[in-house]
Amino acid sequence: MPEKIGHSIDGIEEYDNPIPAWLMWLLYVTIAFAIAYWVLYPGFWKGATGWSQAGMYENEVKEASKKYASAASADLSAIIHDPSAIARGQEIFAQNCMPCHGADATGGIGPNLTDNAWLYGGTPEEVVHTITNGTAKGMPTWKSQLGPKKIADAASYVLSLNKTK
Amino acid sequence: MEQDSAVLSGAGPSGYSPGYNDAIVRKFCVMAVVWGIVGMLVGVLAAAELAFPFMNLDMPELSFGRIRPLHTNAVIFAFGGCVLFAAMMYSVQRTSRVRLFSDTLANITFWGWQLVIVLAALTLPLGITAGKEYAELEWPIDILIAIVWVLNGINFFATIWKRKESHIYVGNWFYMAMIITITVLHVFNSLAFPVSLTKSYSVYSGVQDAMVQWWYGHNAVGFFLTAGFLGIMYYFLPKQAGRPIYSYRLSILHFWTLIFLYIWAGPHHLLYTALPDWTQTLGMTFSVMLIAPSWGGMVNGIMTLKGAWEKLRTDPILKFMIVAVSFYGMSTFEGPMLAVRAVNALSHYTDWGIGHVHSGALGWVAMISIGAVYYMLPRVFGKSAMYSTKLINTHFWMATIGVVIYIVAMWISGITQGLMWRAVGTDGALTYTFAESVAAMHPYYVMRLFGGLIYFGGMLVMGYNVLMTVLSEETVPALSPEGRAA
Repeated sequence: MPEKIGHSIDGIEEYDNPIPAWLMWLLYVTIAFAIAYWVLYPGFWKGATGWSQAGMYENEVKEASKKYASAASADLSAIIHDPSAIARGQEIFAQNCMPCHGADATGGIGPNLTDNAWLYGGTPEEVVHTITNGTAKGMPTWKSQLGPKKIADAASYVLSLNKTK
Repeated sequence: MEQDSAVLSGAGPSGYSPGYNDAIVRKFCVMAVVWGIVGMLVGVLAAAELAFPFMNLDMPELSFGRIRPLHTNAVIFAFGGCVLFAAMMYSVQRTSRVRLFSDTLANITFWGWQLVIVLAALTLPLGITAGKEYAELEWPIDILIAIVWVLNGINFFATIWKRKESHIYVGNWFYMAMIITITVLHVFNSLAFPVSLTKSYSVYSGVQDAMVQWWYGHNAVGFFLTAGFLGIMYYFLPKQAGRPIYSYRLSILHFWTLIFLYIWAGPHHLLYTALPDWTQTLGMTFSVMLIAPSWGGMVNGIMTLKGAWEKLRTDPILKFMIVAVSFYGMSTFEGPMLAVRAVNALSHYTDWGIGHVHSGALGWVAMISIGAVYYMLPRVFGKSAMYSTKLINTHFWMATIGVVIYIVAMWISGITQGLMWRAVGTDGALTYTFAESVAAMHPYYVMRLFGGLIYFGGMLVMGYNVLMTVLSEETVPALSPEGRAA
């Protein structure tokens, strides 16, 4: 039986059990973690990693502007074969074009868009023009609803459907 | 067990506890239960408003922004405060073997604290607020709090000073640390320029205001809701279990490491803000180092039950205390994890924080409080036991199930929020609008309301049990509670 401290206070006695080793190790490990963190990150000095909150923000902005460069631009030649533009175009297609052209774009109310046959021209500029202004046969204009950037993305997706054939 | 008060001379207020001032403990115990019910009812209303906004009835006084601080003040300072004063005054007399230094100071503490609570209940719904979280009350009430708090501190230290026990019991170390630190925190965080009786402006501005606020805010958790309630645990758990404290040296180590480390941890509330990087680093690393000191309290509490585990089967008061200590261990692990920069980047501003604070508040603070009140109440009212042990057991299960539902709902909604807020589409734009994340929270807010209702229902069961105990005609003339129980 462990030793008791030699007092009883209001009937409460106290053992003097050793502190569990795992608990002491937990204390040492967390202290070691803190010291290592102070060496690596800004605390008592600028930190060995050179990390800073402002630097982290700037890096993320830089990376994002590279990654999403084509998303920020409506320049057709820059985005028409860009895989991320095609992926965005697919989302836009699913939300806006699918009801008439079908989920797989093989047509419905509107014509098939996968057969490399074009009623209003199949160059990037022509496809963009068609989406933007609509057609006399009943396709509405998407100019105000999607805007030039999303229209370019949608066009890149539609054109990609024909390339794969 | 030793006859705790038989050595004292002089008749107590009702004869059953000669020498000790138990009248003050009776008052604080009853008001603790009353404010517990009120505070949690307001919490249920706040939760209902988040799930069903029409619940605010289009009244400004009931709008979430005013009800929420009313809830936090009521449960922390009205319920928690009354439990603390009751437990401090009950145990300091018995662990020092003297009556309280001053009955007058004790009564000023009681009536002053009730006045603070009533003023809070009036001003907060009226929209009178200093705008600082957990320190919303305006300057005249702040001054009243400081006076009442310091007078109670004088009474407590003077009682320790005239003790007839050579050793100062570990529970009292924690109370002393709480009294000193909360005085400093409250006074310096509340410093303000008054412009009228109901309006003031903080003397701090900008990021310094934020830093002082969270230095206060986190240590209100560390020294009021942790140190104070560890003081409660150190007396009432070994008493209820009838077992010695597991390790004296562990209590020394975890006391000093806890109070040394806690005071630095506040900046973890301000990660990724305008606070300088080095200050954020200090807050994060000191939080991580707090795991072992916090767990020291959990280990000492749970291991005290070693050799008496079978008591957990039959004693619902002990169940409350042990589950409380377990929740303490859980939330003091979760806290340091949330304080790590990378985790905080996801969890900050989400419901995960609300879940974390409630696992501490409902799981640890309220459960240890409820256990302590069930222990004290029959003893200070001269009864042999609570009216119904079965109802204590019912309360225990309602509280446990309620808090688990609450926490799980907030974990799911918090992580969902964090992921929705940072989700970006292929074009780099945010996938979800903020309102979409609000709509996604609805099922979890309903679930949280459900958990909170169960917990609140448990408090009503307690209220009934307390009422029946107080009204019962039984009186026990014995000198000490332990003498009666034997």
